[in-house]
Amino acid sequence: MKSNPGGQIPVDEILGRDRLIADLWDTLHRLSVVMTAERRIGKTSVLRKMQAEPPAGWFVVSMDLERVHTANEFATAVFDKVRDGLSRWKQTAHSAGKFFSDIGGTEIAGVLKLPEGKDRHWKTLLTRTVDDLVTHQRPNRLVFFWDEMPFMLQSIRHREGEETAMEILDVLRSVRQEAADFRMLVTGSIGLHHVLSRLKAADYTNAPFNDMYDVEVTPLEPPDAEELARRLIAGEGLPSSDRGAAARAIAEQGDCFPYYIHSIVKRLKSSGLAAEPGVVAATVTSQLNSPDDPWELLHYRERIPSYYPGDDSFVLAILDHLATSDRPEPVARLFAALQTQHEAFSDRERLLSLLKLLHRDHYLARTPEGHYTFRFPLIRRWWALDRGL
Amino acid sequence: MADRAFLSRFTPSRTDPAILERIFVQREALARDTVERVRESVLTGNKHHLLFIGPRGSGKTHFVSLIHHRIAADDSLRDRMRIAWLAEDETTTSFAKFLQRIYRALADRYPDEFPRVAIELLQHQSDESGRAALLSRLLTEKLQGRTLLLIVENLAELFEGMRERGQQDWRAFLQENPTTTTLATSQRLFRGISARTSPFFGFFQPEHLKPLGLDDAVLLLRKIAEVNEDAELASFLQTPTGRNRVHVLHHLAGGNPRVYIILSDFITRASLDELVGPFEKLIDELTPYYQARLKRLSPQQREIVEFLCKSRHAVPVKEIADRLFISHQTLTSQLKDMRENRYVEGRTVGREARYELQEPLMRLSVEVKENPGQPIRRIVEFLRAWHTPRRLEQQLRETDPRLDIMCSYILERHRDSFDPYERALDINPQLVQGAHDRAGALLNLNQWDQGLKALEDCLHRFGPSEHDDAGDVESILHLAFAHSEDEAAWRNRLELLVSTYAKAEALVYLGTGLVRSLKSISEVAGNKDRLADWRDVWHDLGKGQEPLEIPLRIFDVGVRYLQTGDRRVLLDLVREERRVLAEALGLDSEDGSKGQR
Repeated sequence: MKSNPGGQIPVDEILGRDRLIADLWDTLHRLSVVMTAERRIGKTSVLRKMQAEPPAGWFVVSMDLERVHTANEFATAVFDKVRDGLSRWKQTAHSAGKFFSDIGGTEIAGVLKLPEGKDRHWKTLLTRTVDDLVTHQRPNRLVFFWDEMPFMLQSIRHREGEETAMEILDVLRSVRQEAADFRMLVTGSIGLHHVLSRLKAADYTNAPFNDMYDVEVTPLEPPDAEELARRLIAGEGLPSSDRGAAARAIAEQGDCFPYYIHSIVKRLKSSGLAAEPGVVAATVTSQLNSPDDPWELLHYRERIPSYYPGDDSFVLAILDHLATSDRPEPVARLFAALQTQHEAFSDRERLLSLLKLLHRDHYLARTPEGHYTFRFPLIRRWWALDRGL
Repeated sequence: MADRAFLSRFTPSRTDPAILERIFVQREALARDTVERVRESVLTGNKHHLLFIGPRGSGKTHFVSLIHHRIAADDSLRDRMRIAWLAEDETTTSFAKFLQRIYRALADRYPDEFPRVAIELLQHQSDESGRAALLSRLLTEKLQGRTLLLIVENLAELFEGMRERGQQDWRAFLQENPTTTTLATSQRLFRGISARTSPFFGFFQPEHLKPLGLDDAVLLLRKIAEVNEDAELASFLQTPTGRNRVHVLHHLAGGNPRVYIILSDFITRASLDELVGPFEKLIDELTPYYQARLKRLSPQQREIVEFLCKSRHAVPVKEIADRLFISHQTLTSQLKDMRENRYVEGRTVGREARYELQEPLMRLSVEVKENPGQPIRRIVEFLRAWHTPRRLEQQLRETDPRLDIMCSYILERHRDSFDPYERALDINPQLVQGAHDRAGALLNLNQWDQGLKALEDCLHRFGPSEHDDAGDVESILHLAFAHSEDEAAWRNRLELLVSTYAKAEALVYLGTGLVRSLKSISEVAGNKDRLADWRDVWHDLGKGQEPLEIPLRIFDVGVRYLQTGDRRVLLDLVREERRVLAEALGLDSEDGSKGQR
C-alpha cells in the first residue's frame, strides 16, 4: 500500500483499533456514544471498520451528515437510508412510509422530498423511521453511526436558526429515551461542545448529550503505528538499512497519528529520501519549521481567541509553560507560573476551568496524579518552535 | 528545418500527447509516482486524491495531460475505470452542478454507458438537493463499481464556486461512495483544503510543482528545437554561450515553462544570441495575457498594480495607502487577495511589510507601454553582460591551451607575464584574450596610461560584442580604487575609463564590472566614507550614460546596504536587480526577508 495522507483506505487495510472498537461496542450495549477526536486521527476509519465488522446482534446504519443542511433533509435522509438498505422492509407496510405518503411527500427517480411548509413533518418522520426500524430489527439492536453531526448542526443553525438545531437535538434525545434498543454513535470533525456553546448562547438550556458516553479516539497503539509505517515504507519502495528502526522512528515522530505517518512517508518518497531514523527526524523538523505549515498546526494557536474569548493570554501562558516543562505539571505549579506572567491573576477556579477546556479540546492530557501535559508531543514540539521558547 | 510543431501556449491539453512527452522535462519522477498512485486507486480500495499546485504557466495542465495520456493508454486499467476530465474555467456554483459536469464529461467520452437522456430527469427536480441526490445515484449506478478518475483543474475556483455547502456535499459523497480518485490542480494552496476547520482539511495530497531550474529551461528549449528539427538552435543551446543567453531569460522570467514555450515559437540561433529582439517579442506576446489578467482585478486593485509598476521597488504598505488614498484596512484586504492570487508578493523585513509585483514580466509589459523598448533593452543588455562568464573563469573551464599565460596573470606575476603576451600577439595579432591580458598586466603594474591605451586598442580592434569580452573590468576597477588615494585621482582615472568604454560602446560591461567589484572594493576600503566617496564619483561620471543607469542603481543600493547592514535597503531594487546584487555580494537570498504567508 502506498502512503495516502487524507485519502480513503480500504477497510481491510485499516490497522489496529481493535481494543478501541471492542470498548465502543461494549459501551454501546449500555449507552449511546459521542466519539471525540482531533482531526485526521482516523475516526471515520474506526466507524468504517465497525460498520464492516459488527458483532452479532447489531444492525448498523451509517451516514455522513455533512451533506445535510436542513431538518427536512435530515429526516428524509435517514428515512431514505433506512428504506434503501432494507429492500424487504421497503415492500411491507410501515408507519414512516405511510406517514410520508399521507403528508404529500414525493419521490422522483428515487429521490425523496418532504412537502415545503411550516409543518414540522420532519420530527414525525424521523421518530417513526427509527421506531419502525427498531421494531423491524428485533431481536437485533439498532445503531446509527452519524459522522460529522456538528457540521450538520452548524448548517441547520445557519439556515433555519438555532431553534431548529435545538429541536433536532431534543428529538434525538427523546428517541433515545423511548427506544431502549436504539443507539447512536455520533462524531464530527469539530467538537460538539463548540456547537452547543453557540446554542447555549441563544438560551438553549438542555443537555442533549448527557445521557451519552464520551469516548475519545486516541492515536494508534505503537505496535500498530509501527506496522502501518512498515507497510508504507514497503509500499513506497523506500530504501532503508533497517526498516524496523525506520518504522519505529516514523511512528514516534508522527505521534502514532495515521495521518502524520502517511504524510511523513509521502514526504520521504517525494523528496527521494531513504527511510532512516535520522532522515525521518529531519523531515519532521522541516515540516514543523516550514513557513507553509503543511500540517496547519498554526490552527492550534489561531483558534485560541475564539475558543477561549477573554482568556487567550492565560491560555497562551499555560501552554508556553507546559511546552518547556520536561514533566507533567500539577495545578499548583501552573498557578504559580501563571502568576509570574500575570501578576493580577488570582482566580484558581478560573484556571481549573481553563484546564478542563484545554483538556476537552485535546491540547492537554491529564495524568492519573492529576498533572497536566501536552496531549500530543508533536504539537508540544511545534508549539515550542513556533513560540520561540 | 521542418514546420514548427503545434504547442498550445495556454491549453497544453490541445497539444499532441506524443509531443508533450517529448518535451517533458524535470518532473519525470513525479509523473511516474503519480501514475503509480492512480493505478493503485483504480486497482485497489486505496483511493488517492492528488493536488498539483503551481502558478499560471507552471506546467500544471501539461503535467496532468501527460498523466492522463499514460493512464488512458494503460490497457490493464481500461475496463476498471472511467475518466471524467472537467472542462477548464467552467463556473460551478453548487454540488449538483458539479455532478452534472462530471456526468456530461463521462457522457462525452462514453456515450453508450452514460446516455445524456438520463440527466433529462433533472428538469423535474426543482431544488439543488434533489438534483444532487439524483445525480449521485445515477453516477454510482452507471459506474457499476468502477473507479472514477476525476480530473479537475482550478480546484480553488471550484471550491469557491460551490461554497462551503457544496464542499460538504462533495466530501460526504466521497465518504459514502469511496470510488473516486482525483487528479486536481490549483494555482495556490487555499483554505478549503488547508484549514483545519474546512471539510476537506488534509484530504488532498498537495504537491507543489517546482519552477524550472536553469538547466531544465535549457533542456526544454533544446527538446522543442529538436521537435522542430532546428539542429542549429539545438546545438547552440548546448554551448556555454547558449546556456548563458537562456540564463538571462531565466533571470527575468524565472522557471515558468509557459514563457519558454512561447519563446520557442520565434527564437533562432541568431536571435537567441542577440537576445533583445526575442525578449521584446516575448513581452509583446505576453502583453494581451497580462492585460486580460489585470482586467480581472477590481479598479482599485488595478490601481495598486499600476502604482507598484511605476514605483520600481518594493513599496511599504503605508506608502501605498498614502499615495493612493486608500485606508490601511482596505489596502490590507486588497493586498491579501492579490497575494493569494499571485499578483503581488509581500516581503517583511523587521516590522515593515513591503509589496511588489510577483512577476517581473508583468511589470515590464506594463512599463513597455509607457516607454516602448527602453526598459527591456536596458535590462536585457545588462543581464546579457552579467551572465557572460568572466573570461578567465570560462577559459579555465575549457582548459585552454594558453593556460600558462593566464596562470601568470592569475598569480599576479604581471612583469613575468608581459613578455609572453607580447610574443603571443606577435605570432597572432587576433589573439583577443592575450591583448586584454596584456592591457591588464600594464594596469596591474600601475602603468595606467599605457594600460588604458592598450585596453582602448583591444576594444577598438575586437569590439566587445563579438567576443563578449571587454577586459577584466572587475580587476581594473579594483586597481583604480586601490592605486589612488584621493577622490581627484579616482576621478581622473575613471573619466578616462568611462570614456574608453563609451567610445567602444561597451559601457554595459563597465557597469557589470562596477557591480561585481563592489564586494572586493568594500573589503579594502577600510572605512565607509571612502566607499561613499567612490560611489559619488561614479554617480557624477555616470550621469547621462544610459547603459550605466541600471548598474549604478544596483551599485548605489549595494553601497547603502554595506554601509548600514539594513536588509530593507535591498528592497529599493526590483527583483531582477536585487538578484544581481545578492549574487555580487554573496548573499544567501535576494533580500534575506521572509515571504508573507
